[in-house]
Amino acid sequence: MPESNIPASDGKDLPETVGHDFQPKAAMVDITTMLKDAASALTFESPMIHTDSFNLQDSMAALEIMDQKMDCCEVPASAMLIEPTEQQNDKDERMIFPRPAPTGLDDVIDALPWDELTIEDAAFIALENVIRLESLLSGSSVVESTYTCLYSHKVVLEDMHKRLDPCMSLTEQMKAIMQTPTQKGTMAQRSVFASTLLLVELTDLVRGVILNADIYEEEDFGTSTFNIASFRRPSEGFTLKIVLDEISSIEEESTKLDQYDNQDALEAIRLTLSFQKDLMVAVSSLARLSGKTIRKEVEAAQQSIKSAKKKLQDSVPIFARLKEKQSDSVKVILRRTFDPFVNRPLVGNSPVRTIVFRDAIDATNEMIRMVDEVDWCVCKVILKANSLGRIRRMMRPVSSESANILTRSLLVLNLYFDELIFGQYSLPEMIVRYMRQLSHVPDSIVNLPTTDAFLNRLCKPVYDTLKLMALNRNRQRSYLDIMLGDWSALREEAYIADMTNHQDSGSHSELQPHFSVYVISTTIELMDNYVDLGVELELLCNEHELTIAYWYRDFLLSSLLTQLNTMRRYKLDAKKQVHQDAEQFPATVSGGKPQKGGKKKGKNKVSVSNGASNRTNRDDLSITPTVEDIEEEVEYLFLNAKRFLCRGIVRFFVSLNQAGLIKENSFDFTSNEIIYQKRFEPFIDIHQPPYLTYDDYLKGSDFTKLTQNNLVSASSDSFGVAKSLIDQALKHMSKLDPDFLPIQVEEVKQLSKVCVANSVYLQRLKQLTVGGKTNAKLTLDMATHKHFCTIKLG
Amino acid sequence: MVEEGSTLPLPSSLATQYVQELLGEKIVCTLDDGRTVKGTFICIDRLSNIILTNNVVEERTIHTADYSQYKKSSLSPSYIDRQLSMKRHLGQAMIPGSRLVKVELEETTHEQILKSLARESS
Repeated sequence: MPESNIPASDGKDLPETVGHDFQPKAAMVDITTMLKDAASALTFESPMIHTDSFNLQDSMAALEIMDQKMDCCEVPASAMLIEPTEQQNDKDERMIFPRPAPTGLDDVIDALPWDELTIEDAAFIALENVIRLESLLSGSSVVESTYTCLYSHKVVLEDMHKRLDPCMSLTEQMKAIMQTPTQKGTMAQRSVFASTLLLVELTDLVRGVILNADIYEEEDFGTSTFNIASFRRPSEGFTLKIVLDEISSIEEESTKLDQYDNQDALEAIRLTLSFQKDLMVAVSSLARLSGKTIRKEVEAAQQSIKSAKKKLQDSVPIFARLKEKQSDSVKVILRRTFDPFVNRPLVGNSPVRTIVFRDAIDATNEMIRMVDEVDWCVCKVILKANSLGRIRRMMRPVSSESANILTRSLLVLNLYFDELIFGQYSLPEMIVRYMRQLSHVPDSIVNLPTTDAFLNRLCKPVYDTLKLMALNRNRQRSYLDIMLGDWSALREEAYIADMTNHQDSGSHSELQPHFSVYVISTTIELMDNYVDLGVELELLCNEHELTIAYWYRDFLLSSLLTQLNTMRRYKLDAKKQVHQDAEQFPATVSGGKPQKGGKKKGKNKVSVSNGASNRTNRDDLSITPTVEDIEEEVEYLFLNAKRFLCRGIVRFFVSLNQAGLIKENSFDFTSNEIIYQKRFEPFIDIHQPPYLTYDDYLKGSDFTKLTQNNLVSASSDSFGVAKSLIDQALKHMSKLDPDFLPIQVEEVKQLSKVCVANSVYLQRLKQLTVGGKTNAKLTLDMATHKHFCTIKLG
Repeated sequence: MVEEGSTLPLPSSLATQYVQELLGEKIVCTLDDGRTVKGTFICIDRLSNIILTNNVVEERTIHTADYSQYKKSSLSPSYIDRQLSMKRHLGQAMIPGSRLVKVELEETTHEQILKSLARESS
């Protein structure tokens, strides 16, 4: 930590012993000549004199003092000017130490703007604070964002508090007892204090949430505070009280002012303070959900978030107007108040990072987007997702759209608490209901003790599949690596549970391995996700690697669809049986009342000792599809569409290979087989589905017996089938709640475009091969859809 | 041969031995802009670049006028440019030989090294 300024006398002399690590006034000997002589005696063969433990890492870790790129405390002197000059680009420009951190409002280096603050200044300072908040949420550390505002430093906030607290002196406290204490300071000063308090409060709150959730990566969020001290609030609710008082004060003032006199500035401050306050209230509430009032608290938080978003949106045109008439004095105030270099002495050996803040409009729009994410990624999911299928569908966009780290952290914090999913639902019950949604799991199985035990065993892996979707895309892949091992091991346990259940239930019918099928289908989904991510993150990027990726995905999706078909068959058979029974014996089945389709609760409830389900089998076996049935059907259609897309793309690549438009890779130090093995290494230990070797790939992608025309037709047919499945799914999607869609409408359009575009380029390939041309330009376009390429032929 | 109680300069043939004995000791380097850097000496190379470690402290003087550029127009003739001492702590630092002006060592440590050299030479 840098030591604070030690003021010298007003001359140039410094105390002798300032900062010495040795004994005071220790006698020193000049050994410069000795060192230089020793250095000049060194040769290329023996270039250094060093300790035995000295190594390359030590030399790389050492900070090069005075190097303009490496040393973060070398700041161009012109950076302290109001306007940049040509000198800033001059490499011989004088470099100085960063401005020391302020020691209070009356800082010895340069007193912070206080007495001269105007309402216009306060408005722009509040806006700059929002920009810093956006920078923090986008991944900057606190020293690169929050504490570049000089007002946010602890000593300055304490100073401001002292000056503005109406009850600091004994006289004032006595007055406060007698009557309502009057406000101290000007409105501009109080507004700056409130806005800065909110910035610091939000910073601490956001850090707390993100650290607790513990899903952040270095690129998501800088967690180090570099030991910077945060302002200690004197009491619980201090910040909120100050802010609410200030907002009411501004509202009161606004009614008194002439319409064109500072109205915009006041309104801008009010909206900015209100936005920050609403955000703070919402995030605090979402970070501490508990007990039986969860839904009410989340609804209240959702209202706060929507209010915050509205206020920020309303502030945009007002700030635009203020910026047009922004005076030079405001620019000076902002330069004196915000300094991106001030905290550099704290970072020690850390690499220099150039801090760049977005401009006001971009930062505000980004902030609006982040705030909106809290609504749809957290509040809506907690309030609406009432089944495992729906939770997965609602969390998928959180994953694919790479929501902000704060949003994802809030989601993970609330994913499982008070031993319930979202504090509301029992996870074993949810798993059973989900299995019953996909398949038919009879009561005789659900009621068994082995089922109970296996469901409890399943809880953690299922929770992990949900948590996975809250991680950033890069981290998901490495997490999947671990999860695949866990789910692979589960398969054995699932099989044992199925066998035991079959024996214990005394059933004479054929074994229906419900748990095994469920575990295998989940494992395949994870494997498919793994390959998919490899394509998205460009780990699999050239023609050869993409061919392998889509080929493997074709296999995985086919296996997954086989498992799903098995589950659907069980369910269909059970439905038929129930309805045959209902037609034959209506009295015994329904207790005298004819059964109708759809959900029913009440007398037909099956009481299960494990509480695994409070819905009857018949509710799941209604002939009329429920809304969730349609959601699952749409998801099934898209899986099928993706399978055909993969198939089409593989055949397209093979056609290009046959036409000589793709060159075979050649390597000096590796081979295609070794690359293949590395790419699919996590699948080796999975027994079902079986691992496919490179030879399997070569055989599976060998279409030499097909003519070019047949291959192109087969590819085209695959794209055609995929497109028709997508169209079919689209028709069902219109009946569904948009929040429960397995795939967003935008992505559906992208998939359609990929199908159509690839079909068009297939025709182009046909023309080229007929014409005998082999030198067309080939481009792989992932811009349309990040998982499925469009193969463009020029 | 080094005699006990001898003062600098030593013969350059003994300089390498001296510097080897100096490894692991605390030294103070002064650079051409007046700043000092103190730390434990662990390496030197042909260009006199020095690496210090073990809670390296860099200390320099700053001038308040450097941070008051925007107030220059309002500066009164009686404005006083104050000098302040600033410190910075680093884990490990490399002192560029081209900017190195002086290296100092505590006298007691220097004498210990000389004694050690004297013993070895005898």
